[in-house]
Amino acid sequence: MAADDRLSDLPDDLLCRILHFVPVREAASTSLLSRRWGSLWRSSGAVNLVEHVNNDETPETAELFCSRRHGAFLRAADAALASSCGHVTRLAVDVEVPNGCWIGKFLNGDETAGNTDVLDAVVSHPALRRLEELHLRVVASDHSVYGSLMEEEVRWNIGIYSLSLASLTFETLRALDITGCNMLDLPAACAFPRRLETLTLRHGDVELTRLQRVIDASPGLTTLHFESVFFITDNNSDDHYHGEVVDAGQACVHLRCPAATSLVLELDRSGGIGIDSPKLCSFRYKGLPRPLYLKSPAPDMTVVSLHFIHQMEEDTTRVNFWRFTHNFTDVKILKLVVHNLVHLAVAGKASRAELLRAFPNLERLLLEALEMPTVKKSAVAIANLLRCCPVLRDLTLKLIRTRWTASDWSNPYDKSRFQPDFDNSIDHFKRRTSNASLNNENSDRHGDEVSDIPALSRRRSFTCLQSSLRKVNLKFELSTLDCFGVQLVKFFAQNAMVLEEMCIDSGNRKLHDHMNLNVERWVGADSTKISLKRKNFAESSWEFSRVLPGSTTRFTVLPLER
Amino acid sequence: MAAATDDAGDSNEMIRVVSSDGEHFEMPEAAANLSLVLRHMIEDDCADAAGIPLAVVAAKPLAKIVDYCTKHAAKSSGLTIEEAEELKRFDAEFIEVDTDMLYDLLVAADFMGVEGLSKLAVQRTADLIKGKTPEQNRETFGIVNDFTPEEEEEICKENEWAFQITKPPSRLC
Repeated sequence: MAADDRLSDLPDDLLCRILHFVPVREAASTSLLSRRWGSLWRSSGAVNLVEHVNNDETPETAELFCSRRHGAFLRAADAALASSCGHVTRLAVDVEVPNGCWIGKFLNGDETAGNTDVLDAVVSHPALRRLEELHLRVVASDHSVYGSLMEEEVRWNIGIYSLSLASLTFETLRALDITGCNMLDLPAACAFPRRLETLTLRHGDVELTRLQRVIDASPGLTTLHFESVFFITDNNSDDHYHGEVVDAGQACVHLRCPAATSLVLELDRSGGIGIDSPKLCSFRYKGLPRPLYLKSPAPDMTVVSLHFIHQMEEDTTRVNFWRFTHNFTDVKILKLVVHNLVHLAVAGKASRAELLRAFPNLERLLLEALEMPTVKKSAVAIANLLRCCPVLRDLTLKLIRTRWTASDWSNPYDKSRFQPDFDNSIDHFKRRTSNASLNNENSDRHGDEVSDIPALSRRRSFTCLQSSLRKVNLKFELSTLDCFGVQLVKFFAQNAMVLEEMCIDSGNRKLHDHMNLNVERWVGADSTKISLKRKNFAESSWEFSRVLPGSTTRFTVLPLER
Repeated sequence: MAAATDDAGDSNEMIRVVSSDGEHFEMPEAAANLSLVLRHMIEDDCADAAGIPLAVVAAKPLAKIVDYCTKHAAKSSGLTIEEAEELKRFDAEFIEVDTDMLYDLLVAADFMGVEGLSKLAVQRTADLIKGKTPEQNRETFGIVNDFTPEEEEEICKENEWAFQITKPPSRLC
């Protein structure tokens, strides 16, 4: 291993930039490497304090261990902060304990240690006067508290410590990033003058008025990230307002972020949200479908990602879902994750007129659904979306658990019930493959034909299919040869007139085993329009050409890259 | 992807660069723009058919850097979470290199002003140092210990707090 020591040949500033990200113990121990390294670490401008207590302690020793680490941590932190030359611009504290009950022992020590709060002591150290980045993360690995009952996608963690930054003056702070803190006490506005650029809070709660004061005082605050955060407001009660939020007064949570270009909101509980962020370019939301109100338009909004978690009430969910999207009709890129595709299905002209809005600029749409309703309702949902997106170029549909309906929840892992179907399908493939390769001419084209989807029959026309949709990615689980996913493949192959590429992932089998055979069959049934041009078995790609009045277009079917 | 490829498609020009050992490489202008140095050269009309000479960057790291920039330029605008994650995966695989290549990338990315790559290489080096004793680090990086035992002991004493490793019973330096 003893290659030339080229690392030590690097210039000081590069080595310091490297040491900037090294935990302080290892950073300090580089002074032992060689004379070259000496006290270089003191100039890295960062103090990264890391304390991970492993799970292999027995409960009795672990508790003792945590309180013993308290003192050692304090001493190390103090020594590291005191010995850094110049000013520390980055402070990171990363504490992980296996059990939330022990965190107090570590953070406060016992009586003999004078109950010094580790975090208070560290953040108020005089060496931090010119601090630019503050990262605090204190977590317990066993601490995911509520919400997990419903399903795996919701796991709100709550904070396990409290912290006050109220008395501190961080005049140079640019980034504040705090994880796992309850009742975070933020400084008065004047102590955070104007430099804050990013603010990240995770797994904890904060009083909204204090937070708003900090935001108001920071004209350059462009990036806000709230993940599993509970905003404490004056009107926090369990009976939130569930109707449509039409003005700020009706929102439970109202955030005003005039400079923000990027906002992430992962919020628990329900209740309306009002947001006033005219400069937003990207917005990400995860939580219940709930009333949302964008107070001022955000003309630069291009990328929006909405992840709606499960809510029992199907009708409320549907209404809230569509109304939520009304705020983002100008976006170019939209990602939607819904629990059940049925939440998108709006039947009836009147309801559609009320709930559906066009997305006149939307070029890329990604839709992920965890559960599928009946084929008919799924089709209505897809039709609703296609109707809303007249200039869509790139569509990705991930319909993951096509086999599981709500009634399967009792035991979703019981695969055996599908085994007969599966074997049946395999038989079909085998038969089809041999037919196709040995006796293609005579194969039965009218055998198990894939049926059209009622709501998506070709009589209906969608603007995007006629003129803009170039790329379709489909991911689904192949349950039968006539499952919704396969029907969609057929639908897009036959109806997307300017399609260039279709990528398919239908589980773990190779594409040419089934999908293209199907496409070829549909071609056969409809040969005036499309014909197979070339197949490449090595890449599993098939190329088709489509003859239209006056022009010929081509599209390729490929396996979807994972 | 539409927005990103369109942008790259509009300025369809390929930029040529030449490594210190005389090998030629090509990348889209959007990719070259990720390097501060190349961007300035392009703005000053120094990019011609002969290629921009990069006197301190050898062919091996330059090939990697062209790769990196091309990938990142294609995905720079309007990142969805998927794309951001894909790019992260790309980065993670990209930087799985031996220490020799890592030094080359550290120096070259710094010289060419490719900020993202520079950060990536710095972070990777920091990760390699993390969690190791000085002895292990010397071995990883081929660093020769030029201290006398007395000097070593003094340094240990001076930074005693740093050499108390987290496991009880206390295992001092």
